Amino acid sequence: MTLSSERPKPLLRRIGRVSWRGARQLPALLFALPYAFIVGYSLVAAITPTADLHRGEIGRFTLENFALAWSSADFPRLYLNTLIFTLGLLLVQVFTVTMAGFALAHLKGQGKDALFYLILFQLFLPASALILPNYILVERMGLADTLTALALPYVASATGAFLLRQGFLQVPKELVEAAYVDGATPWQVLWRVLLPLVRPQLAAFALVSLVYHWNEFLWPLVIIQSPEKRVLSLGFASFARSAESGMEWGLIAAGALLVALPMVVVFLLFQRSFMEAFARSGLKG
Amino acid sequence: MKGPWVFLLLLPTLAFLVVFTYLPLAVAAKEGIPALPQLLSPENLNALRVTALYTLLTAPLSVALGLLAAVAVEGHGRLRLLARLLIFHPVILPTVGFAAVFLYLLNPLGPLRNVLQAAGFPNPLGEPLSAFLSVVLVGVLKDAGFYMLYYLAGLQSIPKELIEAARVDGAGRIVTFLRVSLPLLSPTTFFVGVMAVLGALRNVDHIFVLTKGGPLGATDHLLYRIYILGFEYFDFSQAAALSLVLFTALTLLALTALPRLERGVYYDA
Amino acid sequence: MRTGRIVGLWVLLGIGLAQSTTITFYYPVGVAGPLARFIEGYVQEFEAKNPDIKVNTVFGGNYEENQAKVVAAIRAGNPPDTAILLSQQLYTLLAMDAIEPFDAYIAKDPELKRAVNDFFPAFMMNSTLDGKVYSLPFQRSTPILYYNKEAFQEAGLDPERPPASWDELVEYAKRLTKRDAQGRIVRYGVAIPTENRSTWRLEALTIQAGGLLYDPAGKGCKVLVDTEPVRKGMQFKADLARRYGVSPEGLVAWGTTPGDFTAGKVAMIYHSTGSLGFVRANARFPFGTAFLPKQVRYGVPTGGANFYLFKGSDPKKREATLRFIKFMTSPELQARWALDSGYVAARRSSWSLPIMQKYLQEWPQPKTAREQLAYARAELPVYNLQQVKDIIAEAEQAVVLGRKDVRETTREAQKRVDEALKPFCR
Repeated sequence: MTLSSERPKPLLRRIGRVSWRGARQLPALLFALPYAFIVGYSLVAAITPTADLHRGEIGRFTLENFALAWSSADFPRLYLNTLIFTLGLLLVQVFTVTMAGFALAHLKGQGKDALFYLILFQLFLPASALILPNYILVERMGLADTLTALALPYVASATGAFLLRQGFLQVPKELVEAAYVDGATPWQVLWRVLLPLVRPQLAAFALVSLVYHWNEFLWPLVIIQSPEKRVLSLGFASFARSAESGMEWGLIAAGALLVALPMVVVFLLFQRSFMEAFARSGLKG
Repeated sequence: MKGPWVFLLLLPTLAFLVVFTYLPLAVAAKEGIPALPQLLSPENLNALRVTALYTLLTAPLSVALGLLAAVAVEGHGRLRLLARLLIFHPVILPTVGFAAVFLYLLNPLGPLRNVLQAAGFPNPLGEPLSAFLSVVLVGVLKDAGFYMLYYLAGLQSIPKELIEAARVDGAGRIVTFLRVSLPLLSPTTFFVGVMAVLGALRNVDHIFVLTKGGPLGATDHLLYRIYILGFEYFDFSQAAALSLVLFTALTLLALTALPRLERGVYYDA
Repeated sequence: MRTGRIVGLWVLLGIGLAQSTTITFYYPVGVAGPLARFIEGYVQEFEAKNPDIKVNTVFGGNYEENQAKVVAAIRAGNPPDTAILLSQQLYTLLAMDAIEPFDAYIAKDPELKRAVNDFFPAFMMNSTLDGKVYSLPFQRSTPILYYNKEAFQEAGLDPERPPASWDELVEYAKRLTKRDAQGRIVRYGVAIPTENRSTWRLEALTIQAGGLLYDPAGKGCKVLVDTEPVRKGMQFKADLARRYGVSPEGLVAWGTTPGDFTAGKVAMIYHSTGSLGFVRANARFPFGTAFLPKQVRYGVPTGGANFYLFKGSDPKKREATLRFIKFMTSPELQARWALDSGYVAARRSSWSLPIMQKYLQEWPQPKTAREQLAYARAELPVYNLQQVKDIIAEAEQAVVLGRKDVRETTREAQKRVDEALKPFCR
């Protein structure tokens, strides 16, 4: 009797534990429900045959929308160009943004607020006001129609400088002072102590920068001429328009998903950096 | 931490800013001066009104949503990860893609027809007030994903020991959050707040897709208007003038409000 | 021997000089689907047939974005050699002193002359000013009536007799509007879109009411808003929803209307002939196309975009550009483009080509747009085009939404439009 009643128990306990863990995550899912609803529509539109969709019927599955979207633009090249542009820019930005954020956080003296606002100015000027003058400038520099030109106005990122400044300011002073007491040079303090502590902010910024530039449309529209240099947003726009005809939901949804898919991967990769618990050994000691 | 070499760190950023932001600003100033008398036209005043209302609604709502979302999805687990992805997805999708879903959902003859009619908004995008609210809704949903991200990063930076200490002292979840986490999050809140106001003033892509500034100018956001003036009316002068006004207003706002706000921010742990 | 060497040198020089000419071509995409690929395919075909010409094919977004891109390029001192822009943008481009007429080249080139005479006159209406030709049609359209034959039969109407007049439209629409058991409308009789910042449908209604939105003698400077035909057009649209209850209330969106039609939620719609492909692919019921109903007469504005020639080109590039334009506007290519995109083939001779004949046997609907061309007028051609359109569109919205009285609205709009045109017209 004892044998037969003991065997099912560990399994039940495991199921119990898993479902408890799942249940604790329920608030998160509830919160995301409206979003799930919206995504649901896009997904359904993408995998439903267009004819059915425009008749209001769903239920049949097809990949024809994806096939049509894929064949409507040179996606492999679009992915490549967009990757080169966004990753290249991000690489440079990591440096400028960290340096600027650190400087802003540790600047002393009269000028520090002025410099902070001076950098924030970038966000006060509407993008459309910047496009034409920057285009003319880039044209004069001989850089029109290059991926480099796409990146230039963003090398200095006010958002990033601001975010990293806040990150550096959140670091407890004791930690930094302890490091100096231990004989570290300013350089070592930056590398060994501070940088790891602002990893969440850097990860957040990286994600923000990548996603923003992945989908950026207006500036690439003006700068890019050659078909080989087009980025995803332009490629998507080249078949998702409908000024004259009806909106092709299936095609638009499928195209949007094709464009967004790499960013989903990027998101999944980066979001782990938010969840890392790092040791704050300085406070314990 | 000492004077000059810290400033050197700022040099690349400042250099690029001068070339790609300040220079255009100067160009805008020069171009905009002749159009200054046109600034008080009824269309521009309408745009200012719409923008102010839009910002007053969208900024706080998206920040609040971002904070709540971050709290709701913080922690490990696959379902939480899925939730995070779902909330962030409007940011990932091209704006046409995300806004297009709303065109479909808010179509008076569309799948939500009965729901919309029951709610008293049979044609949300086709009437001025409901179109404005729809545009606010889409704006909030889109931007909240960003702010959730920043808050997640901020929450991660809070030393776990402080939370545990509070709990050990007998504080409940909500009290811990309000008394410990929130104040420690204030640098992030400061950042997110500023970003949200700026975001409400700058992110108007969904207006292009959903309402094109109408009906009857109800969604004629200033930034949308500036784009139209420059790129469709080819009235570069007025576009530059309005950009200048916006820039000046924001600068003044920043200079007066930011220092005061920042004093309330708790920086040292 | 020396002669041989000299000839040899000249030959080498000649080969060196016969290098390829590169021209820049900006184009928009206004219809959903892989149109960019079609255009780029045609370009590649042209390049294969003309190995000494290379065409830089630049995608410019939709009509407005492409226009903006062209203007940006002009301002940066790097204008394209040619571009496809809205046929009604003539005056805006003239005001910028950006374009050149084709006449000098037409005089010298019999093929070009033949083309100009072969285009449908309606499509040339937006191209000419003071006797000069400034653009050649490429992707053109007109609005037409789509109607659901199955719904007609259900309502006891003859599916081969679409409504011919405004009154008939209302009558039919009343019978086609279907309600469910709770009294909610499950199918509207008719939908005429009211898109913000666009005047296409109002233009059609105005022409049908016997008027015109502009004064042809005004040379781009005179817009007629405060007139009876315009008021009739606006009021008619407003009445459909508010008085007869046969249309959805509020503004009806342009982009979602064909989808609503194919889903059976609206029995008749006013939409571009460019949506024919969409409707054909998605409607599971037999449908018909017809002229837009008349009030005192039939009439529609044309729509779509043309090829323009830009200043700042050198003679070699200009010659290459003209060869390219001739290729793209040839009867064969116009026919193929019509089949690929849904636009109306702008050359008359395209319609007698076998490829077109075969297509029409299976699908006669494209003929509607072509036949309606006999009643077509130019699309609103004025300076400061977009601002004028915006003012008129807003006036229309005020009437359709029932916010303002139609007389007051048109009077105000006329004043605003005249103000907007003042800087351009003296």
